[in-house]
Amino acid sequence: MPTYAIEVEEVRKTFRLPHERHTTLAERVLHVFRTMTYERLEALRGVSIKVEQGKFVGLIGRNGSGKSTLLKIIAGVLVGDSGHVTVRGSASPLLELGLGFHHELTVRENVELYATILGCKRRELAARVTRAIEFAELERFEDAKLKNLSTGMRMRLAFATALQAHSEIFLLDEILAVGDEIFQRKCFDTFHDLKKQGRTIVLVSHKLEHVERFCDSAIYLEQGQVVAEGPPLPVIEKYLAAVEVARIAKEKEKSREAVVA
Amino acid sequence: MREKEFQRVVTEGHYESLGDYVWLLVQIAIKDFKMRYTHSFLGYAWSIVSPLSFFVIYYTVFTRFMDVRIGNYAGFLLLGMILWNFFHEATTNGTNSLLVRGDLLKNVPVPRELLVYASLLNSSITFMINLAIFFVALFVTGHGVKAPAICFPLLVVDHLLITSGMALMLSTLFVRFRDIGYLWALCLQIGFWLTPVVYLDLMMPKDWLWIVTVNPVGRIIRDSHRVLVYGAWPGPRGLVITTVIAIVIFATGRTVFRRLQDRLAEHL
Repeated sequence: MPTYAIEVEEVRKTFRLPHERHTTLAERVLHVFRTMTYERLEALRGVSIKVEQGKFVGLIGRNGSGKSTLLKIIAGVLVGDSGHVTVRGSASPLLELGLGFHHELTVRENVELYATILGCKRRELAARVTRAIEFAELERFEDAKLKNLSTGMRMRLAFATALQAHSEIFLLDEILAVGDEIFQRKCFDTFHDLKKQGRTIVLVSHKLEHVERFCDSAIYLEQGQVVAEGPPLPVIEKYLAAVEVARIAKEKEKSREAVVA
Repeated sequence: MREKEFQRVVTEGHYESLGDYVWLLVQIAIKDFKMRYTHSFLGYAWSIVSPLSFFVIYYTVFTRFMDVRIGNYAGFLLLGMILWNFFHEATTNGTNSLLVRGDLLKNVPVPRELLVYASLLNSSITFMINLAIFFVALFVTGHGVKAPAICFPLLVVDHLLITSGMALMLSTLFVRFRDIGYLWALCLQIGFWLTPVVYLDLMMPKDWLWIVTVNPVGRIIRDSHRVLVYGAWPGPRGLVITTVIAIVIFATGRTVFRRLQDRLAEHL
């Protein structure tokens, strides 16, 4: 029986988006007799997935299908409404907005903080931080404030930092969308090494060719539910077919409207 | 209820021992310090000098212009201002501590409570430096301390508990309600004048004394004056009540924090 690095069982998550957002206490008090109305956004509707240890899994699906929410719940940044999540081993998340770097801190300080949060011990910290900065090729900017770095540099730094955390599991959201060809190549080489070392990677991506080329399997989410999972190619085909169906339906609607007009 | 329904189990935690938590706390505190004072060493110097310079202003006003007659008024005023200033600064920074690290909270599974404690740690260091200055001044001016001073550490612990409790509570509420900041600033301003910092509680009319009695920070400052400036023993019953209040405030703050922390990332 295989060991699962990540097990997600029946996880549900609903966001409550208030119609009128009362972000002040004064407003809340003034409207105390008015019932709050919410838009319920069911981001995850009973998602169960299992990720085998040492596998590279791609999460695909359209915008708003719940991919990022799922990744955040696995990472422990968001808390689900119900269900179980089991994570076996230390996990490094690299979510959509980077790593929570602070623009007023220097490159080195930011990396230090992230590594410490992910459990880097005191004696290992300096060496690890140096390696991350080297990987990102930002040695020259080590003491520059983050705000002075370009977007590409920041992403490179975030990626390098997450990799250097030496975690067993990597949760990566859309990291390959930025970065030039050379850096992307470097990323994939690293993924290759990580896989050899038996580490587990979950990648959220819209770049289907990446998923096809590098992932062992893919999971296709639609409206907060798993629609298909398995070897990448059939899953991607299913996804593309669904996208095509949606596109045709939309076009038909348009032409019908045009006819009516 | 919700906590029971959703479960996230991590077999191998990032932090194995208390030492790991302390190490992380120190790292966050150092970064917090750098973020705040990165532009100027003067910024930090100011946070130490601030209570001292206000002390000079109040001292001049209340002794030269208004003729307040309180024994060792300089020591009385300085101690009260240092204690109040810590409460003011630590709760204000603590309130902000989660919001300023919103990006971190949204992206990295950092133990959220530590962000507040790190901010409190920074304020506490300033507080300790200020207290050291106070003690030096007390000895230099030949006043020294008497035996009742041994009660002071307990009062400091109570003060830290109250301040932490308030910071924990306010920090989570501030993420949810963005006007808490203004509201708290107003409370602090009013609170300052309802606390015996510049005046002695004995100067108040009898039927107003309850204001100090129900004000936890007021109780601490009053007893601190008693034990350090006047070398008198505080009432043991009063001391116990103060400690109980402090523990209750801390426990309440922590409970509120733990209740609200799960949804923090969604409100940021």
